Formats: sequence, C-alpha cells, structure tokens
Amino acid sequence: MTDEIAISHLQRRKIEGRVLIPFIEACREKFGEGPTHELVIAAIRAHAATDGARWADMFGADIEGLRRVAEELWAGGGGMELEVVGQTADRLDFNVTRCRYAEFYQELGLADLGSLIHCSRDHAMVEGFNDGLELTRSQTIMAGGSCCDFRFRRKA
Amino acid sequence: MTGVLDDYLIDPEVSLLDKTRMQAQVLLPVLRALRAELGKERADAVVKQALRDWSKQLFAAIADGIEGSPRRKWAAIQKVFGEISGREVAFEIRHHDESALDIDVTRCRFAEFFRALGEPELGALLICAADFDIAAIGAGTVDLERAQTIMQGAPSCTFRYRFAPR
Repeated sequence: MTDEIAISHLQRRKIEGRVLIPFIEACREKFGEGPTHELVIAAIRAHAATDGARWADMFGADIEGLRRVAEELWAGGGGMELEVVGQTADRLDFNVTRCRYAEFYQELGLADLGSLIHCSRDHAMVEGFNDGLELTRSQTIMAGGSCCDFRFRRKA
Repeated sequence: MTGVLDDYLIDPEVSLLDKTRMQAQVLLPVLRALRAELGKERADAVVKQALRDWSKQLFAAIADGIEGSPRRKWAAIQKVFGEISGREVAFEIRHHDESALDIDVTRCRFAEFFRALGEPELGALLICAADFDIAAIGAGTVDLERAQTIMQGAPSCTFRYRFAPR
C-alpha cells in the first residue's frame, strides 16, 4: 500500500472524490438528500475514525500529534494554509486560511458535497484519534466562511 | 508519458493499482451501508449505474481534448492506459496485425485485490470497464470483445481487439 505521506493528502482525497462524488450524486438523485446524507455521514464517519486511530499511531495520540496531523498530513503538499493561534498540552487552536480541498469541491460546484464528504470527517477522526479530545468548529471555508476555526480541547 | 490521462490519474506518481485501491477503500463503507439499507441487489445497481456513467463520461471528455480521428484518439489513450495498467498484469500477445490484436492477461493484481476483498463486481466497475470505455472512443474503427476476465474468476482475460481497415 502506498505510504500515507508519499502521496499528498490532498491528492488522496481527490482520487477518492473521483468515485465517491458520482456515487453520492446518484444516491441523492434516487433516494433524496436526507436519507443519502445520513447514510454517507455514517459510513464516512466510520472510515474517518479508523483514519484517526492510524494517525494516532503515526504521530502520537495527543495535542502535539494533532498538530502534526494538521501541519504535515493535511497541509503537506500545499493542501491548506493554517495559522496556529494557541497551543497548550490541553488545547490546540488553529485557523485554516486557505483550503485546496474546498477549492477542489467549489470548482466542481459541489461545496455541499465537500462539507459532507470532507469536513464532516474531522469530528469522527478525533474520536478515533483520542476519545479524550474533542473538536469544535463554528465555520468552514467549504461552507463559505472566511476561515475554518479548528478548536481542539481535552474533554473536561 | 501519462499526459493525456492526467485527469483520470490525478497524480501520475500513484500507480493505477494504488489509486484503484484507495477508491475501493472509500467506496466500500458507503456501499456496504447502502446494501444494509436496501439489500445488495438494489445497492449494487445504484453503484453500477453511477460508476458506469462516470467512467464513460470521463474517457469521452479525455477524448474530446485530443485532436484527430476517433482511431487516433483511441490510440493515444490506449497507449498510456495500456502502459500503466500493463504494469499490474502479466500478459501474452497472441496475435497482432493491422486488423487484430489478441491479448491474454494471465495474472492481474487488480483481480487479486478485489477477489481477496470479496468484491470482484466492484473491481470490474472500477477497472475492467475502462477497457470498453476506451475502445468506445474509437467508435466504428475499434471493437473489443472479451469473453472472460480473471476478475470474474476465469483463468485469463481474453482481449480481442478488431480494427477497421484504414
């Protein structure tokens, strides 16, 4: 299997999107938006949790490991630009100021699918990564925000 | 070398086998969830339709970007696709002349991957079908028949290309 870093994360997501997008569009056409979204979110979340567990093994299952996931994996190869605005052992705050994942979906006119397939992974990823951590995010570039405000916290 | 297929490959550094594996890995959880909901037959019909349409449109769009006759477009795409897919298979050319090209694929890593997953039909959609979509680009001048494939469980894939006189 290809090494996770050898191919950029962005390229990997584009390769996956190539088949996932037509499949999900066909489902929406057949079954309607609501049922399709439920189904896709459940399946994608399971997939994302597995990714999270694997990345915890690769980078360490703590706040510093999450920072490496964001900087090396997500932003590696130019996938996104991010600014860390705060980090302690219990929290990591960063803003994504440019997102080529969002650009990929927006260029296809499919930003709503991008939120579903791409952005919705992140919360489930954290569960698989370390279920003592959680993510809140009030906006995303994919959904039209000026930045994505990732706020990871150790659960109280 | 891969120029004409850049849009298909996304990243020419990734082998066709790895690309296809990545796509299977992300599709399968969704497909399995859909099967649990609708039953295998209906769910598989949805994925089949979606992936067949996608593949046909993709190769047709690639062909649109190539200058020349259908035969020339086919040759340009087939050359690159044959090269990148050929790395993952063992094959023998049984016959090759102006009017015919007969190839038997005797070992196929795509089939090994999808058969080990228990998903040969998905493999047929993601990879085997491309050969027909590419042949269709040569409309009227290239014809492909393939009576059997390793993906389906046969010992070989029997590619039989026939070419119209130029």
